[in-house]
Amino acid sequence: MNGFEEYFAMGGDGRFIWSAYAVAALVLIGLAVASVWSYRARRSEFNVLQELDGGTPRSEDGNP
Amino acid sequence: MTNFKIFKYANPAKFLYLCEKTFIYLVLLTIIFLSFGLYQGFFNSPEDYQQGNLVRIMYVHVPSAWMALMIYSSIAIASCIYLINKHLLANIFCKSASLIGASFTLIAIVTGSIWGKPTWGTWWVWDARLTSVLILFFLFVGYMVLFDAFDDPTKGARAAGILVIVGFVFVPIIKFSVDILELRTLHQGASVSKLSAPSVHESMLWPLLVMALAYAAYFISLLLVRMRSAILAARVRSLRMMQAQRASRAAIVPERP
Amino acid sequence: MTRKKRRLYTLIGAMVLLSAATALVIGAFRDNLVFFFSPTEVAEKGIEAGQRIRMGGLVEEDSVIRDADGLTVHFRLTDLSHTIMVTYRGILPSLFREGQGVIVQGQLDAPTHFIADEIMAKHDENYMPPEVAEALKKSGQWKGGNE
Repeated sequence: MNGFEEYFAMGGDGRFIWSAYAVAALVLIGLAVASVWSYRARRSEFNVLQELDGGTPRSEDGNP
Repeated sequence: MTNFKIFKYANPAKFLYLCEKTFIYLVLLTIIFLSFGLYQGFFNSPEDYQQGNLVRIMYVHVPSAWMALMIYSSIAIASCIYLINKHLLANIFCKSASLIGASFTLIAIVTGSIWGKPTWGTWWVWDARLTSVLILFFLFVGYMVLFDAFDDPTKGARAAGILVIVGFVFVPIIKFSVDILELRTLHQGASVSKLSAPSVHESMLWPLLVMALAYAAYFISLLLVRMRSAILAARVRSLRMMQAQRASRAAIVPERP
Repeated sequence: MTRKKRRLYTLIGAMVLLSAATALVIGAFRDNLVFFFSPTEVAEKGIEAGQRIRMGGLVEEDSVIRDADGLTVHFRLTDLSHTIMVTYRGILPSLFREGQGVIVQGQLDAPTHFIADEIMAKHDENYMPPEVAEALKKSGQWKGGNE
């Protein structure tokens, strides 16, 4: 346990190092989640519209 | 019928097929590179002789700055293609890549600032190097705002494309003038890209390069998601348009004799 | 000339003009874009006392004197041809030491005496483990100016 705490402290610079990694992780994960969400929302919107169109539901790439 | 240009020029069917085939491998590649890079960065690389453990911030900071410049340049080139050839897939690339580029720029600025405080003794200075990265961030943000500022999406894409190309002229000039005119800055010079041997020790160069690969794989995976999203949005728009046209035609028909 | 070609030439023309304009502007403002002066420039440019500037150089070996209050330090800042005495009161960055490149911000109160209110340590572009640095110094291949 002591070894872990010592490693985590990074010789006194731990707060700088971990916060830098936290910022990077937060931004990258946030962006990925937001992108996937908006993709799903658009996809379901597209499917609904297509069914309204009366046509057979097709995949997004235009193939039946 | 302008909406159907998208089917004519971009050939999204082929693009989307390619996306579907490669996406899972790209995600896997991202995970592999990321875990290997983080392992190298935290457990398999030494402390620096001057900055100690703080050198580990470099493994998230430097590749972010590389990605920011790379994405900006590719948007500028794609904007040229769009403005000259009116190739719509190029336009979709620009729209989808800009937010990812802005995010990497933000990471570069914030992690650099967190590194600067304990190393230099200040969070931020207005030297040529730091200021030009901040300008890069504003260019990304301005680009995204301008892109959506017009009712006519074509106008927005054209205006934003011009902005990004104007900015593209500035960025390398600023970068090279810092190096060639030897403008003195607080930020140290380039270590890896300079013409002589890189002045980063091998043991620290590895995690840096692996993290750069992880970022690149992340960028491409996310780019595919966002481009698919943008293509869907364009199709939704044209479907809406068609339905509105049909509805108005239906409303007119009964009045005819 | 097709429309596509016309667009291409317009774009290239605009980029060339813009690059030239930017290069000229940067050339003209070169002195303002420099983040700090060297002690030689400070001596030669005749910078007046009281004018806020930034000055960068190396902390001369064996020149750092700490006052009894534990906050005030005096040291000589050198670019190896000119040397200016610096007094600073405050917390020093951790990389501050003799032989290190630093940037001081403040004003001259005499032609060779500088009162600093901020000190920033400059980091060089070399990254290596301590053992390697040690080995390089021992073998005489040390290229960094510091230490």
